[in-house]
Amino acid sequence: MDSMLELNIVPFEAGLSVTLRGDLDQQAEEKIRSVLNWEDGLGEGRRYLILNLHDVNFINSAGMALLIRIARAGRKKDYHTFICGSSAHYQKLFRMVGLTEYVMLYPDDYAAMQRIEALESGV
Amino acid sequence: MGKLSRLVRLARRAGAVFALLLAGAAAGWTAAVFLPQDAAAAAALMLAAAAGAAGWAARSFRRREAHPRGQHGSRTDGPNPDDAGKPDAGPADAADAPAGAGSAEPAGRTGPLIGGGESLVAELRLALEVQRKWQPPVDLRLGACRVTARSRQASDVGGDLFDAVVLDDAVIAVLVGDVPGKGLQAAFMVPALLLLLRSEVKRGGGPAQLLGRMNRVLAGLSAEGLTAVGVTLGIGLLNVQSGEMRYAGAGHPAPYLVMPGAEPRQLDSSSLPLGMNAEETYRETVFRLAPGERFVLYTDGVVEDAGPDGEMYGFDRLEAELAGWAADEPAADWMERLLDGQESRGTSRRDDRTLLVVECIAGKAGRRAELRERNWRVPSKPGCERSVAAELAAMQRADWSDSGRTDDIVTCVAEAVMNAAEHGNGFDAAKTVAIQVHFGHAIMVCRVRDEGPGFDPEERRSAKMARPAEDDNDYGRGWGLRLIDELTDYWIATRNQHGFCVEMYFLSHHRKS
Repeated sequence: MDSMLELNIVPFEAGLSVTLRGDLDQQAEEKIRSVLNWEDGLGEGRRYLILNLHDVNFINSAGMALLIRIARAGRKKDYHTFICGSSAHYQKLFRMVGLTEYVMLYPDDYAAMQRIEALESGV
Repeated sequence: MGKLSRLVRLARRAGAVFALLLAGAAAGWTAAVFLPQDAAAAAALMLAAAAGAAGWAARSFRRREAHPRGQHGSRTDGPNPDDAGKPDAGPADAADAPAGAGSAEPAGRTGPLIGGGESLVAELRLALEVQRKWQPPVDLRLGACRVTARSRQASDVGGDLFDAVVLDDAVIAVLVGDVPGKGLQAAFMVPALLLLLRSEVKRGGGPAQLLGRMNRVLAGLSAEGLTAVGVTLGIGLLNVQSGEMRYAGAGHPAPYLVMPGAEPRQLDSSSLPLGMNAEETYRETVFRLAPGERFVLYTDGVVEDAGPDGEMYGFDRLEAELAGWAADEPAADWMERLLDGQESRGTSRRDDRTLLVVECIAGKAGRRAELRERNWRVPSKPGCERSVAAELAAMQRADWSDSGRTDDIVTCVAEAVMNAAEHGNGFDAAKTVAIQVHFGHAIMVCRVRDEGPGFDPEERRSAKMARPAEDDNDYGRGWGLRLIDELTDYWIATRNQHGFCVEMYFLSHHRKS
């Protein structure tokens, strides 16, 4: 299962949609930082970050800590973080460690985008 | 006495039984893990504390029984000014309670509960839950041998205890026992005795020596209710490579050896229960389990179980069940069938019933419910947990897919391995992390060992609570243990000459017993 993380970033008007594939663990930070320096914000006025974890099969506590740091940076840099595609097990773990205080969980990209559109239209 | 009165009421409101049990248990385990040289002393201290606490709690409930509260929660012998407006307040002062009134076993009463009865029942239920946590069912396989244990608790908190401890790659210690009384006393004593056993068994020696050491600890306590009838205990040390069993009993019902198709035979092991005479010596019986043969330990609750007409189940019925036990029927199924059969007789149980079976697997015997084990040894480097996690997940899907626990198990094992590699071995690749898993009928056990000095789980928890993460880089510290805490049914940390070990237990969600 030595599956290095791969990322695919798709910008949209109000934010970035990032699809992750592989393992989200202590080795993932360097890989994510190489394509997204979240501590500096999303750039170009983007206010939403969608992290799609559908193809992430393994997340450990270090990976969850990384997600929290990304989401906390969003509060400082004025972007909202959405996580979608995670399994019921990992959603349970996210609640256990308090990640849901910082991120919103959605079943898929589509549901997250719908919520973003609603936020953009002031609903 | 005013301070004592307030303390008693506060303790009751906080769920005294539950809090004392947990505090005692945590302190005891911690002492056993981190003071290995003095583990027996720590266990004895905990046992003394448990005996004292049990006595205190029993006396407290006797007072409550002697001074039942009225409809509005006040005592019938006059209101306590401190209790004004406090409907949940209990008896006021230890000094005004008659000593030794009534039975020390409130849960054993046959009449309706009065006054504080609802509270008593609630607290006993809590104690029962704690006791269940301490004694998960055993489904263990090492080499060609298998240990299975099932226990059904009485409507009251009972005093049966059982355990199976893997001492090294070749020896398993098994134990079945019964502490005197039920209710609070039993709830306090069982975890303390398990701690004492685990401490003593790791100090080495045969089962007779082990019983002798435990006996001297217990006899030295002079605990209320203990020296009168003692603790019955049967202990076996099984060498799984040779099938040799060394057994000694202390006042415990004689175990059986059963070969399918043959009459069961009982092993003579008469001696005094533990705690009654510090000079008592115990006799060891050594025999070799033949392939397919079963060694059966049980508590008196099994044979003394009474039907609606008051007739006991008895040894004859037990022996008939043993004689009719087919070679291919797994031990867990046989035990559950026997216990279910007793319960179908429709009466409420007055005593715990516990069965423990050791067997050497032969040919097709038990193949249907064949248990699996797997060992890994990985170098301590970042990411070393991933290969173990992947192989474990595949193994789970193949053999334990209906347990509903695959994700929980993989997460916990990965976290434990990561902790062992990073914190235990400091990512020193020359040091290894050893992982051992056993899949049973209803339980999965995993041990993760490293070569480091270990840690105190309680210290880690309190440090984390006292210092929540302020710095973003602190996020994630301690989460591995938190996940293990949340996702396992039970876990402990132990240390011996080979290193530090985290031992995790997972019950199948489909076959909980």
